[in-house]
Amino acid sequence: MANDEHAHAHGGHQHSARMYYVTYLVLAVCTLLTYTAAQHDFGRLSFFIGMLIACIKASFVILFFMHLWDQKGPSRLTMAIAVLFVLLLITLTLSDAATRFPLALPPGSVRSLHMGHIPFGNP
Amino acid sequence: MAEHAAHDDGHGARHPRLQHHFQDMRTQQHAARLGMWLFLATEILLFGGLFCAYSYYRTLFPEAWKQASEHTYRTFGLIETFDLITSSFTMVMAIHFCRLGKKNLSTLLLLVTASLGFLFLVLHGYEYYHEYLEGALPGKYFHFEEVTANGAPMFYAVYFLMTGLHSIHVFIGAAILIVLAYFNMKGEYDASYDHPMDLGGLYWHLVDLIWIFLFPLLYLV
Repeated sequence: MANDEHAHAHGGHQHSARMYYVTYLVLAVCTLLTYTAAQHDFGRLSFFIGMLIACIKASFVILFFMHLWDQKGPSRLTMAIAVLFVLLLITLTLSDAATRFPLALPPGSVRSLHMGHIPFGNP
Repeated sequence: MAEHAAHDDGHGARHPRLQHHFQDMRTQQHAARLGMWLFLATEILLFGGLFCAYSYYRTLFPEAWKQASEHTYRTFGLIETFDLITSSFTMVMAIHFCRLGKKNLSTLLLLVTASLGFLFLVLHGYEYYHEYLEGALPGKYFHFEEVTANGAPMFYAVYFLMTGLHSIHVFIGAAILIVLAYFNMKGEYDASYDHPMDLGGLYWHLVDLIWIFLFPLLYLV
């Protein structure tokens, strides 16, 4: 499997730290961006903006800090499968919640039949 | 196998750190990394369950999520985010300088990384303390007057579980970094053998990775 990175196969002297600086800069800028974006109300879009920036940051960390940019093969596959299963878990659970009969939803929640003020979530 | 091992590093000598069941150092590092990635995958699935609970309750109680999120300590969250991304950066630089043979600088960077981890825990502890005083607590312990929406105790249950599990990981990660710094100071690691630092780094970056998602999801709803 072609997972071996060429740079530090023989001592690492050719290994450059340039991408580390770039990644750090991207992370810092994205953090400020997500914080600033949260001060404004974009409605339903806010969530997607936040998640988009988080995904960009995560990709940089995974690819450069965790070296998946150089490491091909099983390490990448492991990460991809883990992420895939988390996404499956979330989408299947949410599609269940979204298509439920209102009586089956917790009292006080959106779409449930008890819409009064129930601070503790109990009827 | 034996004849392969004898030519392991190109100088005819077997590396003292090479385990007998591996052909050469590259294969050993490959195996170690794959093992770590499998472990990290289980960690992602562990947090995945909590992210799933988060998504489920957020769709049920969107108003509570919005209100409660406005009462989190956003500035603290921002500082903690910078703290963790800086620590991730010092971690990769520690490995980088270790490979360049700069042992003392590398050890120092490992200690800086661990200190940033502990600073994160202190900042988070301060937040927890104030949330405890305000009554922003999970379930039946919730008595925070400023958040009145239905399902607010559920937000705090998810909040404390996610940040709590993450903080446990920060603590373990920082402890591992101190051990790595100790062995690095003793000269155990160099360009030909840095596998423990490599794996410790992967764990530390995962901790950072989780926080990258926790920060917008909990503090900036």
